[in-house]
Amino acid sequence: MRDYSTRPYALGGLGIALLLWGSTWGLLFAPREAYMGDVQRIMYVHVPTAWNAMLALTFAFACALFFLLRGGWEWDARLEAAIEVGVVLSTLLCMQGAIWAKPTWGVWWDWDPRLTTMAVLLFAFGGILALRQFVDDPVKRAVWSAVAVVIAYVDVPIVYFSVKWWNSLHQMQSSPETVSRAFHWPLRINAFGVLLLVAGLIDLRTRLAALRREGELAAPPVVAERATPAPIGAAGGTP
Amino acid sequence: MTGVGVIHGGWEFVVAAYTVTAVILLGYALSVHWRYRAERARRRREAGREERAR
Amino acid sequence: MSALAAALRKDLLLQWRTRAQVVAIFVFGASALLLFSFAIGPHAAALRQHAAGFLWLALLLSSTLALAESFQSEMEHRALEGLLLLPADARALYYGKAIANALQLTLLGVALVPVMVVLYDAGTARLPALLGIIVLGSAGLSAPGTLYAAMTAQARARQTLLPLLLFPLVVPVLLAAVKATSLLILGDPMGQIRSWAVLLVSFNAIYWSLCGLLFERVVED
Repeated sequence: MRDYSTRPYALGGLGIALLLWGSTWGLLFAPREAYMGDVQRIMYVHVPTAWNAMLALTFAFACALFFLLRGGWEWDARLEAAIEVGVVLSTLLCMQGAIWAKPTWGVWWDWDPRLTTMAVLLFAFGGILALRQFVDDPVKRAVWSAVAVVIAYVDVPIVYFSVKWWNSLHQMQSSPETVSRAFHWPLRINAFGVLLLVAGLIDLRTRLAALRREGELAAPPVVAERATPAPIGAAGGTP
Repeated sequence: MTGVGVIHGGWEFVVAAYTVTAVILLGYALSVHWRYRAERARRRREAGREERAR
Repeated sequence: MSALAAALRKDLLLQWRTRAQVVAIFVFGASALLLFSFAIGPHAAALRQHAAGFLWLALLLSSTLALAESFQSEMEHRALEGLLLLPADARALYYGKAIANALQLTLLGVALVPVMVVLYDAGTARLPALLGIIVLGSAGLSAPGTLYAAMTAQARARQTLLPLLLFPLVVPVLLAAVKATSLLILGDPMGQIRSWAVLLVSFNAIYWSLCGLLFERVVED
């Protein structure tokens, strides 16, 4: 589809640069928090990861809707990229959450509604990645994963509220709700850093998906001379 | 304010969190990059084969 | 409406004809309940505390078998394509199958209750409420479960894919059903069952409509 482009690498490089800047600031120069001490510095990567994980999954949802309502293979390629990046970010988020929780609460996991919802999403979207692996027909794969993404994403608020109610008797306030202004800048810089890196990753991963799709849908040279090349619908019977 | 309710130290957790973040993000970026290069190489090979078949 | 009635009748008939399998699934669920007790140990109080969770886990695991079964005949006899050629709406097909599955799961759940009562000393006097929760929970499992069963019946590695896709999705159903059942067994001084029932009803309302809409795309060729 598209030739080699430097755009994803430019985005990624810029993102990494911002992350290095913001992280250095947050680690070395930002003030120490009153109660959580230096452990709170984890927030400078944890919060940006959280925002961008949700963003990636929301983008996946949008791509799924576009594919189902308008069609077009480019939306399936973007969907595949968004799901994969979303799963990677969700995994990272859960690991960061555990590392943050241990010194703060003494346990690796405390069923914080936000983090637990992310864990459920991780499994849900991870399952959709597995679905894509096990379906050979590209059309079915595209339609089914789009349907599954819509179903999984609609579940997000429901999962969040149910875990919140379920946990409400035992809830310890996990993350600081209000962030004082001294902490804003490194957080913002890192948030943009992750955003640009994620944009670059989704861009590159989309190109990969598009290339693969091209390969799958192109008719083998021998068959091209004959009539219809579509290898679609092979799972069905003979007409 | 020292004493109850304040966490001291904990730098090993901070280092762990940042390391995990870097490893996963950069590791994934490299993975996508390598897969993309492999796919492009495969396409070039196939396009070359098609050309010769014609 | 008549298409739905016909579809429902077909699926209920299918389930009746394969009732031996339902019995087998019940036995699976009951043995799961027994095995869960080994995970805790013979501590009567702890077992009673967690009985609701065990019941719904057993039902959830059984549902993967029951849901996969529900499309077995369609796949074996290539009946799916034949059904889709009929003038009937794909939506009627979905609702017929989903309602039949929900009924089957309700039956399984009800059948597992005496097993739970015996093994965990966990009963309740509020039987209509318990039935209501079982119906709502079964319906919640069945709506997305039937959709995913239709998908995975046509894919590879279907036995792993169905639970893999379904389980994260139905977390709210599991949470609400377990909480509500637990309150019925252990007592509900603050009247919290209503909120959990509302959650179950909302989940059902959303997913019965959404999956009905999407089913056509899943089975089209």
